Amino acid sequence: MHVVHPYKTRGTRMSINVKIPMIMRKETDWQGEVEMPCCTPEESLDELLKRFPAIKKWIYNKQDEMWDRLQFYVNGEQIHNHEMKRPMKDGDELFLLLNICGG
Amino acid sequence: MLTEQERARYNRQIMMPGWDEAGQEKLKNAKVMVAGAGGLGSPVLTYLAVAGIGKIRVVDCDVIELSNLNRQMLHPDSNIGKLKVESARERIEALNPDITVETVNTKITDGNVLDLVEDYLIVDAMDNLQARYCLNKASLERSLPLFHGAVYGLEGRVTTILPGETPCIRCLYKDVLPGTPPVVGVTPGVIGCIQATEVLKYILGMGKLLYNRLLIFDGLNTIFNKVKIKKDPNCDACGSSV
Repeated sequence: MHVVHPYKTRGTRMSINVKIPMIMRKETDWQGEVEMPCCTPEESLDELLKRFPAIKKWIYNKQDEMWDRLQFYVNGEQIHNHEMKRPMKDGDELFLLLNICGG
Repeated sequence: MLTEQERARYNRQIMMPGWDEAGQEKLKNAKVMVAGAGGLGSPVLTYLAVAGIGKIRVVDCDVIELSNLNRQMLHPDSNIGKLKVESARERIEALNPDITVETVNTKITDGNVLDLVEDYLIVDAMDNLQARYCLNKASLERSLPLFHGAVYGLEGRVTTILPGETPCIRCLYKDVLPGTPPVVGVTPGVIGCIQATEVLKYILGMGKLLYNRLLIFDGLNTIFNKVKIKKDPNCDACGSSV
């Protein structure tokens, strides 16, 4: 039986590029960029956690709330938490950023 | 008016198109406060001093420790145990005796930050969020630009904050990674140099500054990324409710 991939649209595989902060890369086998077949930042985050469960500590606190120190950028533009369901297009880039403070 | 010695000292930058003697005089008349004489403060102070910023105020409350010296290249090994501000003064005055260096050995707090800043441009070369919030407060209250940098390992960030026009530190940072961060000396070297570049461009009115943009340095892969940052309309410090 032919199964249609949920993220396939008109025969083209939907793919976005997720950029991982250097600090988290130990949890992604040192990959700095990961391709994800996702349609929103929220889906991408879920997929990232599925592939790399150890990354969870960087994203959620013990109460399963997202850390305030994490920021998201779509195609270089900052998005806030209420925009996590915003649709993304094929080829879009999601940039995760962890706030740092060293001097 | 520049002296003959100053003309000679700054000759190679005065040659820059758009800089000229008039630009050098702007630097001579400028006042910059550098908060932090550590990893970021070292390159910032060095390059502002040699560029000829007329008055530099250095604020720090620490003494030099051996573990600082992998990155804080303003301070020699022989100054371990000395106040950082005094060590900074020695080095800056040795680099450029034609400028004035003021030092304040104190911790920056909400209570003293306005007195420390006066009307000086502010360079954020701090290593903790509380002090950065204090500088942010002074920047907003006095409508002074704030030149921000931060580092972690081989990663660094820079932006230039202009009150009313750009996000402030509180818009950008609700929280940061806790603990003592790893730092490789080259990272504050790169980031501090960019902060100093922003200060010079601001004073000279040259080029395009990092307004509303955060520059991210990935030293591991030698990549610079730039992202657009937005004001938080609900920001406690600069939002619409303030």
